[in-house]
Amino acid sequence: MQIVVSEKGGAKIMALSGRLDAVTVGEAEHQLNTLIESGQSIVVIDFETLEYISSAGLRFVLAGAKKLQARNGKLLLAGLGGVVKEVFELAGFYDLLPVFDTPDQAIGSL
Amino acid sequence: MPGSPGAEITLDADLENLGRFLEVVSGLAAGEKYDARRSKMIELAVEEAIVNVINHAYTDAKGMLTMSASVDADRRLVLTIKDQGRPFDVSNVAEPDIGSGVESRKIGGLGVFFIRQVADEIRYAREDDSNVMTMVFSPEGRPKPETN
Repeated sequence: MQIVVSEKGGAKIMALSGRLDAVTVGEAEHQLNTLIESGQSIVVIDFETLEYISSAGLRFVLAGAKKLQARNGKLLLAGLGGVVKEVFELAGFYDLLPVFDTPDQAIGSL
Repeated sequence: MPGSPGAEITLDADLENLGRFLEVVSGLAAGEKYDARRSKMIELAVEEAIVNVINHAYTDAKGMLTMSASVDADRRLVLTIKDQGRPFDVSNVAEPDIGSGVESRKIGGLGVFFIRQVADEIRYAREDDSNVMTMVFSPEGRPKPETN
């Protein structure tokens, strides 16, 4: 998995590529925790180029959302498609968190 | 040709080997011309089953995991995973509450839910101090209930 972090309008965007599974989830957790601990309150996860996600990936998303909410922050999701979107829907996560087509739309909603 | 002889691999039940188990699954699905979407969903179910063995069967000691994979006469993938850990039957795992909100939503319980959603059949047996779980996947998956 590859993670690219960028910044826009005060928000951090974490773009994930490849596979977010039980093996790679640790890197994503580390990256998100680093952002949260540095005081970042708005984080967008961009799933546009993610090819695969398992329950380990969904747990990461949920844990991140809870952590940010506890700090009056927000986790926004963007670029969900294909199998990744299907897994989100299957788990009932699609209605649980704010979902946008693109990171720009996610940031524009704030 | 009715079915195929299939493959069997035994590796340490460790996350570092997850990719090797899943390669067998995706290779078999590709050989049977499963579409990419169905193949990934099957990988998802198998990942969850293997992670359950690592986390719930081998809680006290490390051990081995054997995966047997074959294709039956109806082009269905038949995957059996076997471990020598503590008894762990997925049919005893409760369904997660997929309707609750972010604060109350529990972290976990989703793995078994995914296995149940994706596999056409699941069988479990405790044989000679081993957990033997068989999952059967058709090329199309189970028909989804109409949601209008």
